Amino acid sequence: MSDCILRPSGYEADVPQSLTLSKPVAFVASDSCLYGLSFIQSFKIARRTGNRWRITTLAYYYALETEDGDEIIAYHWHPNAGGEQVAFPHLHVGNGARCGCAELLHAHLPTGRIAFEDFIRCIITEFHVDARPGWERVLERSRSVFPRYRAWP
Amino acid sequence: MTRANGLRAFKKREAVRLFDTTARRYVGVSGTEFLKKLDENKWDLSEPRVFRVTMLLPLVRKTSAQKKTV
Repeated sequence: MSDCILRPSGYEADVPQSLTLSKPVAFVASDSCLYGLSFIQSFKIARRTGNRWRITTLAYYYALETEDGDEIIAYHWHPNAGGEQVAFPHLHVGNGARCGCAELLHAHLPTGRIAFEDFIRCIITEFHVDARPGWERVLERSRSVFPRYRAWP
Repeated sequence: MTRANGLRAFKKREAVRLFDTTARRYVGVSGTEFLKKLDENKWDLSEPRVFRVTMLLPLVRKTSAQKKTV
């Protein structure tokens, strides 16, 4: 789907860090439209007992965007952010969806915690993206680790 | 910096460039201008495009002070 590389802002402990892609992701779906994909996680590395460390997710931002950067759908969770202080994980239907419903454009639609792998699976299957062979196995391998370490559902 | 899993962190120059590119793409200003307006509380943080950029603040601001503004 992309040759982008996932990189963190750093490994310094006890301060918020970002994990994101090295460059914007663009792909063509079955409708021949060009889409963009955003992935950002905010996280913190904290020392636990002894030499054990734990990485805690502080916020996430996964979005399917138009070629111009307008959100079509976006999964957000940012409990410590400013602005409207929406603490629960939610889905946005953005301007890029051209749904024509003003209330929906500003709505925070509650969701459970979303794994990025699930978001990618949704994009590939629902938008009929021509992903590389074996993508399901790769996603499943990564996704299977998530429930073991997450602190909340 | 590279850890055992091979996931290298952004170099400072890469991080600044990515932040600048992102700010220009999503809100139409340079990274420097974005930070200036952020410090002046001139951004609507509930605006998705603004929020998108603020999520990348750790790329250019390494202190915990960012928690107060984002």
